[in-house]
Amino acid sequence: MMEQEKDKNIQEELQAMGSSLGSLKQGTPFQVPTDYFQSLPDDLMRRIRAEASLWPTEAPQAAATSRAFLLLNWLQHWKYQLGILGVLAAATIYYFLLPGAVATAATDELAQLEAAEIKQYVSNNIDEFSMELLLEAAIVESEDVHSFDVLEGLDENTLDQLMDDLLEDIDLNDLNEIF
Amino acid sequence: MGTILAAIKDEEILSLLLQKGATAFERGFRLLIEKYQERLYWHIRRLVLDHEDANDVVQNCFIKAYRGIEGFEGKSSLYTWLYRIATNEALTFLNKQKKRNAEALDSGNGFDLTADPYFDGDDLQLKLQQALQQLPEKQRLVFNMRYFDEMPYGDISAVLDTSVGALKASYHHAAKKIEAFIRESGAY
Repeated sequence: MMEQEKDKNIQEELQAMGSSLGSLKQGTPFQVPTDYFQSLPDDLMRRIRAEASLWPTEAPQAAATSRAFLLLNWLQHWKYQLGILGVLAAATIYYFLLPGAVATAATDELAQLEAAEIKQYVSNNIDEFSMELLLEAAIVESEDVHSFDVLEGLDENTLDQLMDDLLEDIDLNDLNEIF
Repeated sequence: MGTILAAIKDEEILSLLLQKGATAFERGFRLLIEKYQERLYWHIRRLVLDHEDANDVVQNCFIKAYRGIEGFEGKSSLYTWLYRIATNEALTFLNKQKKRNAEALDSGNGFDLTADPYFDGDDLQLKLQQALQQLPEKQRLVFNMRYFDEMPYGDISAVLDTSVGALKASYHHAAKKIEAFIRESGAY
């Protein structure tokens, strides 16, 4: 307390030092633009919201607890809104207006896979494939496919019935063995 | 407004900042800015001199505070912590400015206050500022904090991590050098 009381009187301290600077002490010669301190908090909060959106992982815990807040701030940033719109537009063109490009790229990649690799993949992920798809693949690959000629005389309904019967009879383990 | 803000305790601000939820955090951080913006701005302004530079530095200071508030352990007061950030930011700015001036072979010794529209001092005040620019960085800091901000030596010690005795010596040397500079310039 004694120290604080002494601290309060800067002029006395300077006089004690033998300095005449104490007599100079008056108001600040510096000025700020009108309403600077009224607008600074708003400017800063805007910057902080932008900071929160740019570095969400670095945001303080209290701010990071509200991901919705960060996302909202992020979405309020016009640059990111434009970016999102741009990405969505490009994706739309790519998938809907140029479907052939996507299909061709995927087909080309699949064509480069070895049969053994495909079998291995299907075997490892058999639960992800529908029974119909597996059966179709088995029939296409089977050597018995050549005997399809014998089915030529059957109409579409009869063939469908035969396929359904096969699906009912076939066991998942059998399909595993096929692959 | 200033009185109301000054009455808000740091504990209340910290309590808001540590609450979960963006609304409380925003309210807390805004209070922190409103309470300390002027003191920090003037501290920075007296070091960097130009308003635009001071504005940039004070904003960076609060951004740093925002990023670091999670790590604030309360070992020092909020004001001391903010003051330390402000001081570091201002010194970093000045060092960069010095480097830029050196690269540009600028022989000028800092900012020209006479051309500053936001400087309204008389001749004696101008001389005082010019004298301050001649001081070593540490002495200038100590003089500003003691003479203008009227900070207790204990607080200056916490900000600058220097003993009170060393601070008093720095302040004494700075005051003598300033007085000599002003006397030589004939402004007294």
